[in-house]
Amino acid sequence: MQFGFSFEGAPLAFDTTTYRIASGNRIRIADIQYFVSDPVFVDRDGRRHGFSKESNRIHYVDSDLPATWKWEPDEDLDAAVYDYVEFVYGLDSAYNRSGKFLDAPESLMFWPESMGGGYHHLKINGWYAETDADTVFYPFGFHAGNVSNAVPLRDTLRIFLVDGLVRNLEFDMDVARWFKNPHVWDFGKFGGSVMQDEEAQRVIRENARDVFSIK
Amino acid sequence: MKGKTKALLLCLPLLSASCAVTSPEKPFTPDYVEWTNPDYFPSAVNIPADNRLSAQGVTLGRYLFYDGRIGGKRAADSMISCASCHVQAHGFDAGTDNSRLKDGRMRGAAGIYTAHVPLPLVNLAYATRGLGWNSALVFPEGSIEKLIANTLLDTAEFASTMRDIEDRIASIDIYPPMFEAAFGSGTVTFDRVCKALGQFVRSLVSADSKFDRYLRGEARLSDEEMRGYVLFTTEEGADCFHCHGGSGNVLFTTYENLINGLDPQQAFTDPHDRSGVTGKESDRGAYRVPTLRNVAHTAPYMHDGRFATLDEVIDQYSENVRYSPYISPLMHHVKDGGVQLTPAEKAALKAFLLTLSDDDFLQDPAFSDPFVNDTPLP
Repeated sequence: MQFGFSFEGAPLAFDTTTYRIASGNRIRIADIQYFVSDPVFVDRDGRRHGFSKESNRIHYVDSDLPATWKWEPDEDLDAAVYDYVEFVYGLDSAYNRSGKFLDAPESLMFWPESMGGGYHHLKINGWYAETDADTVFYPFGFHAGNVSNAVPLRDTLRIFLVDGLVRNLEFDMDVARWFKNPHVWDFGKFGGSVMQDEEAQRVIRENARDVFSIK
Repeated sequence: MKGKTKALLLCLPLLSASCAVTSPEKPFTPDYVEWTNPDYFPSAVNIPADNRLSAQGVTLGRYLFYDGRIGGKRAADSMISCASCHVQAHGFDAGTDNSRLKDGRMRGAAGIYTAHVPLPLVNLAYATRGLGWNSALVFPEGSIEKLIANTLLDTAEFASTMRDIEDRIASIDIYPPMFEAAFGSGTVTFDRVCKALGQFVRSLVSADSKFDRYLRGEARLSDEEMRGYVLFTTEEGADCFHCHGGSGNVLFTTYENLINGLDPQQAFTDPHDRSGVTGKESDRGAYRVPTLRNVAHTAPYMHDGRFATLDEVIDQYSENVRYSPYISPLMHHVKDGGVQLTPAEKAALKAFLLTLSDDDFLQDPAFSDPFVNDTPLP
């Protein structure tokens, strides 16, 4: 599985490119880190096929670390026709416990114990300007965590897996959608830090449903 | 686990006098050290396959670390050791009372000043990203041995040559037998000097601060220290943890290179910042995040040593954060000029930072000057 980032369908450019989000705010993206966990492939008969090893059920993606842009589980799936893929954006609560990761970069995602512990599901770091009149882009951390915030998602696509053949999937995050649907995100309202903002955490969780696609 | 860690560190000088087997009939087998971690520390270490820690190697490295002759010089005024700038009592950082410190730089053997103050040599065995204030050396291509080699040859530091170092160290009676014990022959090479120093530097593990004991369930933080810890680890508090860690990142650094709001953009004139390595405009004014372990003892602070006290550092992040276009996104509070702590919050944050001091590490005889504290070798 190959991981990528886009903005409204075009490959995402980091640091210097300015994007406009649904609220009209302008943003630049510095870096993105997130977890994906528990991928399950569901076949035409509704049977669920997952990986047995835990190492094949958790993946960390970091826009600054090319080695994380590829995920190659070392278990095979049955040859079949699969109708959709389910996965959890963030860490499934079964794994989201403090001390799970001791080594960087995953350990750097830790979510402070004073806020429940575990790990960030997602960090999008960047800069924003509320209006076109603003000449200064202030920093933001669009960070999501908490045990309850992992979101099971599914992407409907038909995947044919044939015995002995490797199938490559592309897993994309459309960054624009974090700020769009169903809730329009306004940095003028939420500001640059949201870890302790329950409403912001809820909005991020609900907006996650429209962000990822697999092809 | 504490006991295991201390056992690793304390056993080394006891083994230092033992000799490795070097006869042609038997393979060279020094007393390799079994690396053990506290169970909440990273499991990944940067120990190269060709430079495993041995009791003999670490001991040799310790002697070299404290030996003013290592630079190959003979004139008294140009002899410096690693310990001239990396002082145990200061967490192997310089200390504000360091005679070589001037205006945030260190005077090297040739009288030239370094670009920045030193970084503390602590828990570097766990470093898996960049080394130096601008991360000029990045793992896996970079290594502690390469950092040491660069330091010995840098005109602003030891200003030496490989040949001068080899000749000078080989001329000192105690060293050929120590090289034989550590490496299987008494030949002094620059590569072996760097390896021995690398072994000693990696042995500098600090894992017994009050905060460590708190993590292990052996101590409790006072109410004020706990308030400081909560401030340290919350965005609406002091917001330190994203860069400096906490219970989930006990190295107390991410090893990221960031612009921390110390200065406005027009002050970014240092050719040795991160942009000096990457050439990227967005890295101007960026420096590697230093560890906060033993931070109460590692002044002066910041890459240019501009702050002499923790209070000044806390004030900086509370009220004096300066905007620049590529300031780290983690510095959310720049919009308000800083995190705006009350005097009571500042005191609590400082109380927490003091729990990161590891007094045993700062005074551990195994890390001390062997020319002062050890029985002379035969």
